[in-house]
Amino acid sequence: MDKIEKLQRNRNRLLGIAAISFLLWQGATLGIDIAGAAQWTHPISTLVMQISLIIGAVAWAGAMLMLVGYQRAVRQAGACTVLRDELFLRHRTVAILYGFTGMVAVAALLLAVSTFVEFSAEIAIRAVLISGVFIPLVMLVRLERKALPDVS
Amino acid sequence: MDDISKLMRDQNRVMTAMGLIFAIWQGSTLAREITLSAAPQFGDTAILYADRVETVGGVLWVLATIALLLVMRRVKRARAQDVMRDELFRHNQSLAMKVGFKAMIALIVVLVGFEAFFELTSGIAIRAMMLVAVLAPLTTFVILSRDDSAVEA
Repeated sequence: MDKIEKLQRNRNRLLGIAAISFLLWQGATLGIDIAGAAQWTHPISTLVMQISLIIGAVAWAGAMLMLVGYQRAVRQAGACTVLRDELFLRHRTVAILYGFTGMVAVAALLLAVSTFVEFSAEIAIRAVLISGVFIPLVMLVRLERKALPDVS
Repeated sequence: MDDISKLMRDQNRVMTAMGLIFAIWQGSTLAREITLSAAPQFGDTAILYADRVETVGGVLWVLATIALLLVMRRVKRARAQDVMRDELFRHNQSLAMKVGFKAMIALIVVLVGFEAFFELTSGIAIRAMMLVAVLAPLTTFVILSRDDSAVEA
């Protein structure tokens, strides 16, 4: 495996960690908000959501720090243009399109739900934000993984 | 002007009209919700005007959708799908969606900021998002297509 491929795999791993940690962090916050609005108190579920929130937030911060370190490694290897090639840019565009579609779908779903159930703006904003960050990250990782050759 | 250019011009016109109608239609609903939330004393007036604009907007939206279907039929009859949905069209389309995505993220940031100082209802937040999700890509697409037509002319 050459240096560039290693960097690509590291990038995918980092983006994957960032996506999952964001989902854990913001998903748990959304869960807590919804439970609060519905006045639903279940100690074990609340504890699970709080633990997920803490783990997610710490992992997200860790992923961001690792991303800074990764960028330094890319710069040192002089691989910026190689890693940002045509295929990567295409994948990024496709991932963004999926993210946008996901955001619109969630907003439309919330609009329909809001006619039957009353909920706060915070819940709506968070739900759309989660789809806007999680979907493009996951799609980018998936597309990039498909483009990489098998290690085996 | 050839048939393809005419069809493209008509498509852009219908899309511009759809954008404007959607902005007026959903904008009036958003304005009513903001008025009800921020200045309830004007609630009755807001409901009265918003209901009228909503009805007119809804009817116009249906008419604009029918107009778009008619343009699509003309495109199909002229067998111009492949010519009109060329590489440039697809490029403009994905660029417009990208702008829509960025606009949505920017709106979320603004809403989070607003939410910290003012009381927002879910209706206001969702409707603002729907407005931006439709208007940002539509406007970008129409502008890009017009620029291309101007260059071709």
